[in-house]
Amino acid sequence: MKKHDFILWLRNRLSDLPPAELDRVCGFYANAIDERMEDGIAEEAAVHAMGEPEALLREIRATLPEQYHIEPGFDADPQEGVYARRLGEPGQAAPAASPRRRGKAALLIILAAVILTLVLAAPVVLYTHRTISRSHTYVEYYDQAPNVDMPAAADFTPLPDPSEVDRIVIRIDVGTLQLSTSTVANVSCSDNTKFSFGKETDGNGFTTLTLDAAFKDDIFSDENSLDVALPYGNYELVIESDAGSVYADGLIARRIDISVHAGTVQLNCLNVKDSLSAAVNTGYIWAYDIGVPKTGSISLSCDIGDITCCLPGDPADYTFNTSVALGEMDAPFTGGSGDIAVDLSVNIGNLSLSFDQE
Amino acid sequence: MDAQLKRGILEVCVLKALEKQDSYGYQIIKDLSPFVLLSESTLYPILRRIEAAGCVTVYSVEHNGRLRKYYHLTPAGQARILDFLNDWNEVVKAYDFIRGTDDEKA
Repeated sequence: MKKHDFILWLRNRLSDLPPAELDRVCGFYANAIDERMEDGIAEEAAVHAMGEPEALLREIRATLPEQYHIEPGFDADPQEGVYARRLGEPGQAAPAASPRRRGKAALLIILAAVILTLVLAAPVVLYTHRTISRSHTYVEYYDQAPNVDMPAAADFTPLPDPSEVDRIVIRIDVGTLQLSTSTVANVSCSDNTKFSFGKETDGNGFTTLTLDAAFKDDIFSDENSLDVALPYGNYELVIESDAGSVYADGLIARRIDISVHAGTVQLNCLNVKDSLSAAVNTGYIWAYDIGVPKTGSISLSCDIGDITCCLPGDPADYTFNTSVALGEMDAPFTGGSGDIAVDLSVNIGNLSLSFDQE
Repeated sequence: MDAQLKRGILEVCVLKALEKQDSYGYQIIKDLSPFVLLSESTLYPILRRIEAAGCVTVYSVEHNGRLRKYYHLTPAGQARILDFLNDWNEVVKAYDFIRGTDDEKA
């Protein structure tokens, strides 16, 4: 079992946890695996050393409030001492969608409405919704024995080492882009997706890794997806999407720039050394726990749509420039004299700014 | 060993591992390995509990392109170690009593 698969499995089994808690848990185990690998232990042995999976989950849940002690879809069987699956045979899908899947479905409905509006306003290609199975679903095998098979490894393609590039550019036309972290850069995609990548160095020695993804049928579907995992690094990350969702979780880079024409951007627990910017023409930006140093900046802009932003630390560390031309602004922090510049602007829509001062 | 007793002992062991210097998860496991066997699945809840109890504080340091979390022993954590050592005398007395009773039966 590779570290990336293990962390994704952990996220899946703990998907009902609050986002901050989920990131804390996954960050702890990701770091623990990295430490062992730095100590010369092979990746799969390092993952195995984390402990028996079901016991690990029980220990994690036991540290949380009681509402999280039992995993959704499971009954606690005190006589057995293990969790018994409430419904279905091993290998069947969970009986209820996780909060993240329900949220994703809601965002796709909004996106479909936005695209329909664009079609009526200008001559564009019409997208039709179709369900296409993913090539890399994580199949989980459950039984009632304490030892549970880990999910089968997905079919990943390694990418060039980001430590050897200055900039990574990811371009997709339509669909979902999921960005996460891994010790080895890799990419995977759904059945109806094709991608290509290449590395170029200019005359000044500046190296760019470009990853282009397109969808074979040119038909929008919630299953058109590209998953890119990147290690922490000192690169610039540029993401360009025509229509769809961009999810970025746990990345560390020197700079991150995201632009989405029609769609959503969800950013969770990112750390940048210089700056982060996200711009959506029509859609939605949700940003939580974006870490920048005292010389850094954050810029989020949405032409038509909403921005929800929750930043870490003390508001006194920031200088705010917030604006909403037409809509509601819930941003109790304006101006300021902190070292981190935060620029949030919405043309038509709502803006919400808060702080997690944990 | 009784689970509660073991849990309490392990918590104090982790606090003791932080007494001389701040440390991080894997290093704590290595430092304690000659004395107690710990895995991350056991250590994580211990660290969460002692942090929630104010016995340690946490900070991050960049290491090889990632953030390594370090744990720092607080005065409350130091007091917890001392309380354990003081309480242990009571445990030893009880142990001697129980063992003494078993010897009589034998």
